[in-house]
Amino acid sequence: MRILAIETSDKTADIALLDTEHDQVWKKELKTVQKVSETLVDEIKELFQSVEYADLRTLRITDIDLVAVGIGPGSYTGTRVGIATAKGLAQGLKVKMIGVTSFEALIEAIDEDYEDTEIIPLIDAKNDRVYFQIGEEQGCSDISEVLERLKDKNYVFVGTGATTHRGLIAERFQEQAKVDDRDQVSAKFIAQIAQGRAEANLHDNAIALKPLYINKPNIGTKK
Amino acid sequence: MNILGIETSCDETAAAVVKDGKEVLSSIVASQADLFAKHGGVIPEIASRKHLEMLTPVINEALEKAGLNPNDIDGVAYTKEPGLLPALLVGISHAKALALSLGVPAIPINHLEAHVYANSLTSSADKKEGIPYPHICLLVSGGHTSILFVESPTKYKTLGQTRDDAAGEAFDKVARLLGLPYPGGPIIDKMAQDGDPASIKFPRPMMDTEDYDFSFSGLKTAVLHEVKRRVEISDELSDELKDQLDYNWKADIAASFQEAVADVLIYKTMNAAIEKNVDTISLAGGVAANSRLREKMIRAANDLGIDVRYPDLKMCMDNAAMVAGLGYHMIKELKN
Repeated sequence: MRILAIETSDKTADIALLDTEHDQVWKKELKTVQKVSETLVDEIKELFQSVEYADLRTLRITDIDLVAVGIGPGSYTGTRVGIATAKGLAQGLKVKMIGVTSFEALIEAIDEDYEDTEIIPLIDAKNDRVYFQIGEEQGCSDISEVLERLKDKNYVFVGTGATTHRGLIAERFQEQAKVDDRDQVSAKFIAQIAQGRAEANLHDNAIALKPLYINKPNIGTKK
Repeated sequence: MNILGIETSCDETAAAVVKDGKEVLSSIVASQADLFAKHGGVIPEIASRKHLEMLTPVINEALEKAGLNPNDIDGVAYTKEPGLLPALLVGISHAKALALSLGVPAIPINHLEAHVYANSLTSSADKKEGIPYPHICLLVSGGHTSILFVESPTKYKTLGQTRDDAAGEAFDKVARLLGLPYPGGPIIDKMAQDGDPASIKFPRPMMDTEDYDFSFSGLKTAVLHEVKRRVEISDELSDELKDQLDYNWKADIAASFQEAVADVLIYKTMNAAIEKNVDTISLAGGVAANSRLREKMIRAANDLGIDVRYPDLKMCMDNAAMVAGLGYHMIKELKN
């Protein structure tokens, strides 16, 4: 199975191509995150041009079997660009889609280093708020509230919410908590999670797939 | 050549298939206007969320209705600008990815040029084939009010434009003043038919300037003063009488306001047509659907032997057929 993964929900957008049979991954970090919408498709093209197997075989976009995409939480517009791109590809290639949350991808990236410690993913939501996942619960609250409600025990915190609020975490848990610095969501881990889910036949509906917004849209003031 | 068009610049999610830049094989529009009726305008974040949800099924429907598979598409044209950026990005991203996966060109289209092109589609209301070049186009929508000298499907000069509110925006704002829902254009058009266009003498802004520019914010303020004056008077009336008077009064305001807008638009458009010595005027954009504007423009133009062309109602509003149609010419130009 060949999986193309797209992750554009945070500052370091990237894409990855995972060939599960040959156990090979090709990755590409996107150069201009601000203009990701302008460059994403070109970057995907370039990623495919960089693919070369040991037997010199190359890959084409039509060789993809599955499109995986990061669904946030994170930047609304950034995440939508990634999902809309994934939907366009899936529609043209007639392949299935799987959406992976930033929480899952952050945990997947580090969990083999922390066997017995609970990992809490926190994503910066600006103004001292963070998106969090604690057990099954997902939400968005003030960082101090999130830290307050956690029991006193050992944790690993990961994500931009953790690195941004390192000081508050240290204050609340002292030595009991560690902040892992791998705070950017990576397409490679989105591809890995999608592989497991595809093997279990847990594909997403390509029409219904949408960002994990968590918050209601900000209606703001009309002009 | 079959071009798939995609349009998500405002609050319509649209996809269409057009053959050879002319024949509309399908044109699907999923409007979100209902979502925004109570807000008095479009909220970009809500519109963007809706586009992402609707675009895949809307494209599927456009292909199905055209009786085509994705592989029968020779290019994907998409609205690149202008519009609400987060909303545009949904269509841009989807279109470019779809084109990549099909191995066909992705063609960025300017939304306004697409509106101007709507008159070249065969489904135009007047059933006339093609449109002569050069001609003068009055482009009037919620975001724009411009007079264009159009030399070819892909080439035009802007002779003048609004300095503040767009005409369509003025309709929306006046509707809000009268307690009517968004979008204001269709409902004011309808109510105006029950009103007297000569009942209130609203200003005709910039009528006497020598250029082709417009200004509508002063007109909106004049309506606001009229509304305030009326509210003071009607405070002393019984509820029943007030309701009855209210409707007639609103209809008069709608008709008088619409008349003022139409007069200015027509006067300047006619002047442009005379100066440029063209024998055709085209109307484009959502406000081109306004029945009074059409009627008066045709009368004024016919007196001078000028032909007026306008797309059918559906093609005046935001749609993807105009995007696909223009996309065909863009591809042809790229190849030459």
